[in-house]
Amino acid sequence: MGSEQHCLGVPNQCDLSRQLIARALDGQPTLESISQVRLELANCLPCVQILDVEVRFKLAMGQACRESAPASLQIRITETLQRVVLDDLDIQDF
Amino acid sequence: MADQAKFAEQAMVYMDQLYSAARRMTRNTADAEDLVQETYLRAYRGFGNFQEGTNLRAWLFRILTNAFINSYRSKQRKPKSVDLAGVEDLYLHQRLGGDTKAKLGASAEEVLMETITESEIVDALESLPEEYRIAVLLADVEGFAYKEIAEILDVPMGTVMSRLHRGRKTLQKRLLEFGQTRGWVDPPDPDRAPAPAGI
Repeated sequence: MGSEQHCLGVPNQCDLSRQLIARALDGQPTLESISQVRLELANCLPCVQILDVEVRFKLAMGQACRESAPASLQIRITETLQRVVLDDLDIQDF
Repeated sequence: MADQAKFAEQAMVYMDQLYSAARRMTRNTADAEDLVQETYLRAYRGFGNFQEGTNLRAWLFRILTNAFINSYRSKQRKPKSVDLAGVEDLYLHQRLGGDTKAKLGASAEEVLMETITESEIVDALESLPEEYRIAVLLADVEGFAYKEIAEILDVPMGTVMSRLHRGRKTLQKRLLEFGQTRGWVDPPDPDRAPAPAGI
């Protein structure tokens, strides 16, 4: 499949390439799933470039925006839940 | 039905992910901590109704998102204004063509992506309007599938796809603006006709 078949000369402006690129970005892409979509985009180099940028962008987002919860929050929530459990037990005792 | 006694054992492992999402939703540490605590309390109370064997992580994120929408957003500061106009036709590799490619070499996108800092990416995400921000957060940071996001947000899949498309394009627009300040990306050509909507 070449760009002339599914893009009519305007990359990523046909349903097929949009769907394929969206599929590649669904969930947590693997090398295998991305390679599969690259194959399906076949000879449309601009579409493959768009795919590569979108995937790279998604990975960069994931790396930049993750952080760990502070230990103090973990302690606070654990204690709160323990208190709620104890309160529930007290209510049941009555 | 799930056993409430097993709640902590099963749910606490998701705290880092919930906290990360809460930070991006609330944009501040104190509200994020309160939101995560409220999420765990609500989840504990509702754990008896959770169907064991279904997706606990998605269930917790649904509670987090609902708690944010119902309890926190009204008191949130407004994001810096973000211009959503013209994002539909934005494709990074096209804008990084021509002179820009010549300046940066063959892998212009790679250079741009590697040079932008993590805090700039975070700022760009946090500048998005809420509905786009949450969709991108769930898809690209947390790695939820589109179907799961539709369930978490209780909206149709088409709405998820639309929010993701506009959200991602807006983020890329911010990235381009970053590139423009460094002279890597040519400013937009006002004569260029907008292309139809993409993915």
